Amino acid sequence: MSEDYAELMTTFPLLEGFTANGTKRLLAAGEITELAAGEVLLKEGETAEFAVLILKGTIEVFVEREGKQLALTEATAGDILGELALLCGIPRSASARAKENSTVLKWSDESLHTLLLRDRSLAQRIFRETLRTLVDKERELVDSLVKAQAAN
Amino acid sequence: MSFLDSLIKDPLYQSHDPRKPEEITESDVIISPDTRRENRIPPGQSRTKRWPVLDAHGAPRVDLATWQFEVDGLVEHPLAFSLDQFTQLPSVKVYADFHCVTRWSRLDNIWTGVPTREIANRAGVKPEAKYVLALAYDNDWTTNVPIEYFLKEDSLFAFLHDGAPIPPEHGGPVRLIIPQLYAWKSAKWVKGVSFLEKDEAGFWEEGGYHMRGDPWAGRDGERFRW
Repeated sequence: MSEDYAELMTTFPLLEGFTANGTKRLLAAGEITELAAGEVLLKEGETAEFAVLILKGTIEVFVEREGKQLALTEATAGDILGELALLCGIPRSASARAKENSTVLKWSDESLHTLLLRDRSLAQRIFRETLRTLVDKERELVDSLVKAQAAN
Repeated sequence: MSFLDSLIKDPLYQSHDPRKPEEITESDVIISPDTRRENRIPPGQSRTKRWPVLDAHGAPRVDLATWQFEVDGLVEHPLAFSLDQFTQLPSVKVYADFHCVTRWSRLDNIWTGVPTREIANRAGVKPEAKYVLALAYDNDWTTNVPIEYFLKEDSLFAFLHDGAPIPPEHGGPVRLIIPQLYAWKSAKWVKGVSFLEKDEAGFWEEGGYHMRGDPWAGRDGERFRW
């Protein structure tokens, strides 16, 4: 099974240029975890112990405010989730649950740090991806503020 | 020990400005052509005076008594050498700069060792060989190099750096040195080379690092394949 994922991972934009032997090492550094639809993967406020690379399926990211759930984004195969809290050493900033049956590759905190310290190219890619996501979020936030002000 | 003390006591710390090739007075030293450039720092790099240590798995334990160097693949005569045999082969000195893909360059190094051409000649490399895969002692780490870079006049299997044995963390007892490519192609703890017709990704290359790795190419060198 992990052989198939090794091939699949070479098609992820985040891992462009990786061969199946290369992605096998990323697989070996983590643990493949199956999630049933509805299963919670990350909980806002919890201590971060791992990050995931989504191999299959869809993961919804959301926060809960005043008893209501607010959907933030959906992540799919090839996306990385939960790395920000690990890199910054902060609690989870959002929750995430499987929208459908999904498969993720879980890297422990230690495992991810080792990967990033040894492989500067991978580190550069992951930082770039993470920062890009943050910048996009900030832009959306600014846009919605502008809209809200215009509505007032 | 303070930070400054540790710098001063680091025998590999360069307190001097890099020499120019014409200041190398020994007559038998091969001058790596990139040291003759007016600006010796490739794009996106900066000079380090220290010699940082980077590797995939840490330094392996290499038993000098059983150390062996093997040459195989597309050759007329596969070869095997013990460390004694290897260090008794004809050797050369090369004056070269050293450029790491992580953006530091260590200028002004003198390497002593067996020219790659010596090994290729002894093995009788077949004309169809176009690439070389270097193998190392750390968990069968590999790196791939186009044969024209492997066979450059300044490429060698070094066992001395600035006259002293190459420390284990820097790849001793024997390290492949290919000054005209990024330093990860200069395999630490090298244990052999295989001559190939088709290019085959090595360890970092399997993770998207460049198949050639020319630090002088383009605006930022050939670092990655993404």
